[in-house]
Amino acid sequence: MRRIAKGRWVDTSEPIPFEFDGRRLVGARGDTVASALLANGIRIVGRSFKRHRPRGIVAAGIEESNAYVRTQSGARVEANALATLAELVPGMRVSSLHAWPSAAWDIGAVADRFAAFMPAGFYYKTFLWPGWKLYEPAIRSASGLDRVPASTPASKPLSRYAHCDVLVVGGGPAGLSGALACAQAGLRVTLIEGRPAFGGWLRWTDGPQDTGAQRWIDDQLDALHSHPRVTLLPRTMAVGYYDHNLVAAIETFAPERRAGDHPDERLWQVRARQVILATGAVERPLVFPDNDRPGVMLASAAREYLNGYGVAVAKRAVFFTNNDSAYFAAADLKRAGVDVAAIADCRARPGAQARQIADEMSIEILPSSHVAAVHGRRGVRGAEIAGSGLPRKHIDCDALLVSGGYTPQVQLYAHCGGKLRFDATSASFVPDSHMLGCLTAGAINGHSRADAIAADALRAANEALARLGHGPARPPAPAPCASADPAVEAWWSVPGNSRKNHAWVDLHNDVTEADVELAVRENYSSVEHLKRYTTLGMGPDQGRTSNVNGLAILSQALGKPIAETGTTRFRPPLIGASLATLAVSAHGELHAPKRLLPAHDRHRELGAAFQDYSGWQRPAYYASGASPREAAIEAECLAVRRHVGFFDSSPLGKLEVRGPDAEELLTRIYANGVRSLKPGAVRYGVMLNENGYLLDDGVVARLAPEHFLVGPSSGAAPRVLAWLEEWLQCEWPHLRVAIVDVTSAWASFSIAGPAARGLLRDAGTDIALSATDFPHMAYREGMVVGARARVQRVSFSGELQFEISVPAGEACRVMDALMQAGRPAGLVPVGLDAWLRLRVDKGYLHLGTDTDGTTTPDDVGLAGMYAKKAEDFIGRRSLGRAALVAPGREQLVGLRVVDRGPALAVGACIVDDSVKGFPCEILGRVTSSGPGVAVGHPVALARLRDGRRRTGEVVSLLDGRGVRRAEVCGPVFYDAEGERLGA
Amino acid sequence: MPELLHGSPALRIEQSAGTLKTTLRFIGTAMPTAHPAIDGPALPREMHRCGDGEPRAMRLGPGEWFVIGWPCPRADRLDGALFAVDVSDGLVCFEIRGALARSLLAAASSVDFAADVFVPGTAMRTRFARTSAIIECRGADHFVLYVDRSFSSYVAAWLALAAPRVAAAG
Repeated sequence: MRRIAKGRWVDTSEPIPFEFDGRRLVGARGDTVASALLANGIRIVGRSFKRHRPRGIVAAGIEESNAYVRTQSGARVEANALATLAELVPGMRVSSLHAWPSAAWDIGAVADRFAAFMPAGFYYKTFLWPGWKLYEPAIRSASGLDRVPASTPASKPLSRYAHCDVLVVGGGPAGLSGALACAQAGLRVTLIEGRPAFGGWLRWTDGPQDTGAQRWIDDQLDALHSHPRVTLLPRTMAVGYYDHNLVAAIETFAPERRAGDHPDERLWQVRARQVILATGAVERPLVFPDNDRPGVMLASAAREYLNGYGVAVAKRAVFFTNNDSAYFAAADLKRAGVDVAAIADCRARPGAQARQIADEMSIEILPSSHVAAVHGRRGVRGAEIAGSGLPRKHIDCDALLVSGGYTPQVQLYAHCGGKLRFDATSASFVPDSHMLGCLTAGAINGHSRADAIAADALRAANEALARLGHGPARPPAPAPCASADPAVEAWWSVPGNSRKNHAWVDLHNDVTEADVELAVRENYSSVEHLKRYTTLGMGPDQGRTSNVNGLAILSQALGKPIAETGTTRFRPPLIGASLATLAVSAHGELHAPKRLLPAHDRHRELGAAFQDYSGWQRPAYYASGASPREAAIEAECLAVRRHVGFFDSSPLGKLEVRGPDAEELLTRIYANGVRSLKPGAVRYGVMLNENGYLLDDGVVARLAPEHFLVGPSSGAAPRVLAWLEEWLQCEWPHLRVAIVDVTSAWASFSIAGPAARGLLRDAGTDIALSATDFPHMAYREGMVVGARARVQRVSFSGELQFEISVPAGEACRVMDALMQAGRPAGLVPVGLDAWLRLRVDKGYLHLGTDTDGTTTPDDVGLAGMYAKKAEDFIGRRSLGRAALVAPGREQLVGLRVVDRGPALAVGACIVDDSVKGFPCEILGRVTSSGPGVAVGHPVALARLRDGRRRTGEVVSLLDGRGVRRAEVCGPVFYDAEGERLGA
Repeated sequence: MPELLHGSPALRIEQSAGTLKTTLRFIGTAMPTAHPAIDGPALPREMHRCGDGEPRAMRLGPGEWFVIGWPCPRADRLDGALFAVDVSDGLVCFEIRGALARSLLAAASSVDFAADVFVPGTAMRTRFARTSAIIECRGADHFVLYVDRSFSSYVAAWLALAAPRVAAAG
């Protein structure tokens, strides 16, 4: 065990048993998986992405690039969990990735022997013709990250929208100070922090010496808790920053809370008037040969493991740095009993703070030096130190702790469009300017000293307060801790390094210094190209530790300053996010909102097989006994043709349009006119978009001189309502019209067939039903089986048909009564499949099936609707465009199958077979097809180039089963004279 | 009879057909100088405000009110500038009560449900669990959701799924 001290965050009196790659280990309450592994002396936690080199833990937080593992506690499996953030729970089983049979002994390690064959652009160079598909599966299975097992139980995410005046992202010293300053002004403040506790880096500065940092954190939190309008959200990681100050964050609940109904994670979407990003900075590594050996770790991480978890990552450590901050870590480790062999500092003269610490702690400094080599394949055993004026020196050690300065966490700032600039002092990219609604504070701006951070937090808070109309805040008390000066000496790689293929820039993606230089030689010199060619900065790690080093080496290779090289574009999510959490409840039965018919339960009792049609769950057909689908549909069609059928047409849109200018509005909307429509009459019409293309069709009934009932096609009511409102509100606000969607308030039932009139009469109605009293295309109101009803004589089946609308609350009772009354006449329920086949016989258009987004009324034979209309309507002007009147447009026609075969397949291509051989020219496609139950032969509708001119021609079709033959004819196959529907 | 969808100490959800519901639309190019009056509840002038008791009206848009507990009048009994439509059968009610009612609503809708923002007497039409709904605040911990009838089964299923999680997480 390497737990040598009493960590501030763990309770060693409560042992936590767990497994790693089958080994039984023991951690402590409060441990992360990473700290527990280190406490148990586990050095190899995984294998590298491409070369399968042994890898150890390098960091202690979000910046970890190696320790991605699978965790399993109970049935819950988390793939690609970051060991440095995953909280240890009793019985947890942890497995390494990229390794078989284990991380310690991995058969894939042989890949490292062939590293020369896996340079930058490996995938692009490998997946080439011929035969790349042969080896692609093997390569893909050997790379990539974890897979979620199929047996994993569904997660239980939750969502939450929130609003606040000021959202502070990051609970470190800057975030705490900024949040408190805003809270004191009485603002609604939300403070989110990704870790379980607030305090950020301050939490681990309290080491063997109590600096009072934790007391300062507690004081800030007490003060924040005293403000009722403050919301504190620990364990909540901001993952994306979107337009208009919307920040998405994922709250991960403590493991012990996740039992039963308790959610695992909660997706927060916070809309803030002002956002202060206090996301801090992460330490970055240095690039030198074999810098990926287990035991090479960030100095700040070693300090955090020691002070937070009581874990010493080494018995004898060597430090390598280009700044003063590593000296603070060295001092803490030495105080805890770790032998600090030396600090290799690439600066000729380390900073005053550094020298003072080294003097006080009797630590040897090796100025102007660097690490030239690391010994120990499975873990650091020693380091070779070289430098100007120094003899090459070997030092035995079991950890090499590095610090290359700090990289501000600017990703969220960049998500919302923030521009970056290169700051030479901290050798990193920092926010260039503040944007409307977004401010940055603290280490993200390149600050590292506690007093500078406090001042910067006050500045950001005051700016936010001013923007919200408040006066300045009181200066906060700076955190009482010593912290390093932010200055670093830019040091990007070992001069004259002959082993660049072993100097890792991006540990997460196995990208070396040699890879970056090769990419430049192969002309992938743009930073965005470099990223894609080498995979530098890709994956869940998002280049948190590798980005700046990679850019610096790129700029060296290009001979340009880093500022000119620029950065890649950061995109959400900031860290790996579970798709289940992002989807929240939108999966399974709740994947999309479903609309049910008012009499849904009755249809189910009748054996309806439901399908989704424009969001509505509608009966496709009714399974009667053992009859298969086709037989059921045919029986339903025959019932309508011979007797009577019952069809639930409730999804047909119902928009009430009323006002003195209602007629004017509809005249402008519909291609055909409505002015001549008398009260009590119904008319079929089409509406076009501005381009002259068909938008929707349906019937419109005039209920009164200033009152219309517009019937968009099934499922189209919301879209048509929005269309009407847009024109009314934006273009014609002077029209005195109001529109109300009453689609769901009414259930609609269609009774169709020769016996429809008798059925309705027998069921009971006070409406006169004779053909004279109630002709085709008429509208009546009255009572039907005791319910207030709106009845239209319209037909989509080609038969005598009454469409009866009753209040939705009466749907089941009315349906029962109609079914009962129709039983003697042979009434059967009819599903949508049969309904749509009936309309094919009749040649009725079904928008979206027989049309696409470029179909005009003339293409489907409806030009006559507006031929004599004098007034303008939407789309009219476009109908005259040359392209819409030119020959060669696809026109709707009928196809009569002449080869005695079955019905044509929808989508079958009509081809020009006058020229032999392939490819043949496609002249059109079948859009609808049916067996023509009452017609005597299969029928189809098709869109055919210059189709009407080809009437009488026999054309060839390819329908996937061979060549078919059909005669082009008019689209109406059944009751062309309309005697049946007009009966 | 209301149907209980969820019952826990801090959250109770009931579904019912509710009472009479009427959509009232103003027909005109601009609101009249004198506020429209009806023989029934007072029409709130302020947007997203709702009256109390029954009948009560809530203003959902510049020319739109939603009236609860009021028999929809015939057209000839209304000022010609108003258009009333009975939508009683088109909307289903979900009553949500309890200390966690706001948390549940905030799980489904991006409206600001803070206690000092969405105060009793507030009502608005908004997105709720990816459908459209009218949400009325009747008391500090008492809300009524009016949902399109066709979506009611979906919304009930959504509430039944989310409520235990909200009750557990707070």
